[in-house]
Amino acid sequence: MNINRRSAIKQFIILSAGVALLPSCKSNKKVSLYNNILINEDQQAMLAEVAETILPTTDTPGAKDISAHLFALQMMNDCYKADDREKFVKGMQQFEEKVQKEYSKTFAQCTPQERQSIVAAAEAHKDAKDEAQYFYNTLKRLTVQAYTGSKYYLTNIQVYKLVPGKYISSVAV
Amino acid sequence: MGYTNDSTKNRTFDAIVIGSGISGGWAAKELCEKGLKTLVLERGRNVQHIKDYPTTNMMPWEFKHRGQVPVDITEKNPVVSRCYAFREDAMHFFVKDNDHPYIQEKPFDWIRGYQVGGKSLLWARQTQRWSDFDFEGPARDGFAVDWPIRYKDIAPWYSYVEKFAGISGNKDGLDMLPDGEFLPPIELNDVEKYFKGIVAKNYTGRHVIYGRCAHLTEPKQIHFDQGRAQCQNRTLCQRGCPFGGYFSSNATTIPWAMKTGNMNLRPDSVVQEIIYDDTKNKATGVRVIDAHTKEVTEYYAKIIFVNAAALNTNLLLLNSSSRRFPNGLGNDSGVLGKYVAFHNYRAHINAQCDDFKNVTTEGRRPTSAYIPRFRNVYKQETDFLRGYAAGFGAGRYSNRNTDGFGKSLKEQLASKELGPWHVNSHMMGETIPKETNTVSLSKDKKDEWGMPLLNVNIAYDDNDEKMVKDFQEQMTEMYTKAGFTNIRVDDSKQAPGLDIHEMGGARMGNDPKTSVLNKWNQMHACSNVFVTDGACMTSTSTQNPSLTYMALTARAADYAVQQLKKMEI
Repeated sequence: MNINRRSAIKQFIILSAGVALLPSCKSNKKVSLYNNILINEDQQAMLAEVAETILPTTDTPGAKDISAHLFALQMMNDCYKADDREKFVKGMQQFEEKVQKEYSKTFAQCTPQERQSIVAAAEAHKDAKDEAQYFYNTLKRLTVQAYTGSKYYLTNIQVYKLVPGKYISSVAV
Repeated sequence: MGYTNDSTKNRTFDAIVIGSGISGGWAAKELCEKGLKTLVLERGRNVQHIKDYPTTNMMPWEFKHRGQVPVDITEKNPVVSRCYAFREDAMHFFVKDNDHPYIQEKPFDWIRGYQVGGKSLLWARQTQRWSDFDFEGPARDGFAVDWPIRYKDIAPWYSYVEKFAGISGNKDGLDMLPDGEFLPPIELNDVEKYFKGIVAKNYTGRHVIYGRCAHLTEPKQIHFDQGRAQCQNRTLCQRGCPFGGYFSSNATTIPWAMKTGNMNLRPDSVVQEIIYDDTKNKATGVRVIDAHTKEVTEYYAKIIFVNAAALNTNLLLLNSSSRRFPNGLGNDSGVLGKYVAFHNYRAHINAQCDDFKNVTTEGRRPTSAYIPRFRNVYKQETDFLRGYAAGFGAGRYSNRNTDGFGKSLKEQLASKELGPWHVNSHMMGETIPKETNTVSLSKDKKDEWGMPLLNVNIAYDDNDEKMVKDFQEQMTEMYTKAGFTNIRVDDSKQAPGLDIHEMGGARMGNDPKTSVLNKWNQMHACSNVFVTDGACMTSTSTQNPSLTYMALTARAADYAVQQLKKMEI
């Protein structure tokens, strides 16, 4: 149990540190938490906004509340192969450029309506094979995973029981 | 080495048990209970029940990678990464490829657990008895050698270990899968019951039953005495169970042996060789190298139980050479390291059941349904030898529609709507032990403890290929009769070893010329050494083997102590 608590606290510190970096998104400083992916603070802020557009805060928590983009980055950094990480970063840059070209501003600077149109366009092309699409699809998958695997979701929406205590072989639905 | 007499005395025991996994734990318990001062040597670290289960109470969201193993680990450890249970929550209980190399002359995924308790922490906990259809197999079908025992020899020992371990099961009255001492079963769900009915209606000799498993569905006093409690259906067994809900050495036999005051458990102790004394004509002890300090120490005992896990037992025996046994301890026959076999787990079949929309299940369960072997049971009827058992399960899960984004996606993810029932099955095929399936010692490569690396040369054969095909055909037919849809068969082509049921190499037999062990798991040629782990297996049958190792171990320990008392060994 001690070890669990310790690792949970450690994780909390990492997450808080990430969140604390967000307001300074004017700088292009590389985020050093992730040793395997090259990403700057602006890009990290963008990821947070894209994730929030995918799963927005409503009367219930959204992507930002559960730091879904930080989970996505953690997974990308630790669990994806080098090729996939490169593809993700390249795709992220292309995604940024596309937004810049079309709206002459960054994703974070876009209005909520503009952000929705950008994400809707990405959704419409989800079978495309280019890197920008890989970036979007992967970010979405990890955002959904962050959400459905979050404490909020597993204690409020689909309740996970660590100790079910039983198996009922037939329950009417 | 200049030890004092006192030191020798301190290093002398009545019995030595090499290994603390599922069979070593039983050897320790039985020998200690019978009053023998017993040294239990484990090459890995100590893992104490509950205290050393660091992930056991973690919630899914507390895992940094939600269960996934980071890529730097999977890339460095391709073999163990192929094991279904090698996940973020239990990876600390598995041997990493690089830490303990071996040589794959042919692809072989050797999955190991070096710690007190061994793989008993990680096993799938299926406990089906063998019958005479299994013990008589080699003699009837003309492969390997005849088993020196029959069902009646081991039946009381099955009962003995089942009562202590706690086995949940249903009395099914099947001659190919004898009933045992059962705690209550968990009921099959509606789709499983339906399939059971369809199979019973359409076939004679084919049965869908509840898979017997080592879980305390209703503990008895003996289990409370062990400090264990009822299985809580967490299905997080691989993390180690804080309730002791399933059988492991750590929760059960090791603490029981410890309580006798007769056990001396020594983790981090790699046994390099069993010492044979040419003048006494018996084994006198073992040479151990400390896993960390590399200090070498000898320990002595009157009897030695070898329970290092099948392939490591072969390695140890092959590495124990003496003037009397230049080719490995007890290896007069030359079969040591040969006739290694395993279980064929390659084929799967999945489908959908479109009925039973008005029911589902609740909670989780640690087992599923089981289909005992139905091929070639009473007589040879196919163009391949032997047959396969199958696991079978049905379940229903939430539809998780991840299309779109925004508020609507959130609503979709909150939907409690259930999808259709899914059914799945996998084969557990008997493989035929062959002289060409071998393990041997590397002539030039050693590990950091001075042990030769193990060459593994094990492969499938035509019989296995035919069996994969037959499983797919027969199960497709059974699924079709049940009206299941979207039937998908699969052949994983996984390498031998990933079944984690490697067996043989030091087989039992009546004839010392063709086997290493007699009917008591005692070496024909070195009467105070007993091998009761998977290495002893003459053939593999289809059943998950651990229960049989437990019964053979308890039986052999009983015999060994009797012989010791009679001064016969």
